[in-house]
Amino acid sequence: MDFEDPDFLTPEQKLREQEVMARCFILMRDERSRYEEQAQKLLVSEFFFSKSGIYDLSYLIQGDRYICKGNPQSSLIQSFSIEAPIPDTQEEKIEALVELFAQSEAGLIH
Amino acid sequence: MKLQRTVGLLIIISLLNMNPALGSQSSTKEPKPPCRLQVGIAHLSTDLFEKFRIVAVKVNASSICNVPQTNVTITVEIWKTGLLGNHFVWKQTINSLGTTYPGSQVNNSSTYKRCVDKTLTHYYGVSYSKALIDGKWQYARHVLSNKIEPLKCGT
Repeated sequence: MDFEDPDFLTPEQKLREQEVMARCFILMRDERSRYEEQAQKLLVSEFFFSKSGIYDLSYLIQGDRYICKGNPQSSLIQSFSIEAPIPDTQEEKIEALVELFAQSEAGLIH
Repeated sequence: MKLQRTVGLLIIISLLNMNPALGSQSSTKEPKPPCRLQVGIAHLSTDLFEKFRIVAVKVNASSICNVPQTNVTITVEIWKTGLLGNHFVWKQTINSLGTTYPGSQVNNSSTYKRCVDKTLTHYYGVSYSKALIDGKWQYARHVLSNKIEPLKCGT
């Protein structure tokens, strides 16, 4: 570990980083229409729930932020939350949610 | 007379050594914090650019403790500077329920945000953490990246 090293990552973690981020980008491309539908639902009801692999994913709107909470079905696995600012335009709002959905489904980089 | 002075001086010195409040400047040291949290510099993740034509800004953080800890929570925030104040970009918190043994590292390496264009933007990371140590919550104060990095990444 070194402050000058922006990564802190071992070669194995670097590989895992690439895998997870690639999965996220593939999801953004391949699941776009599903994510756009989910985004519309979330913007209307301010809450959306889904399951992805080992995680229960809850999405909500709180103040000026989107929030995602990922709770694993096993207590041995890390839980996570993501927060993102809500942009101004409708197009940007949908785009930010597409990325939020993809990141939360892609999983964590261990 | 000299003997009395010497004895008096010795008594004062011994009292100073016995009372930590009086003698704190000379002998006691601040205890080392049991955990160390560090946050990296915001950087571009370009490894996947050739395949996906996507670049992301990323900040990693890492915590290491010299005591056992449980319920380790590490938060990483990505911020960008602006004319009318700084702007929050993205935040991710990870929570590990299990026990982490002394000397082992806990990372939050999952905080990233896709760049939408190549606008030169100045980014930095903020991280904070908490953990249960000896049954008590211990909090690590906000740590900032030691450099604000200009990156060709509009978000």
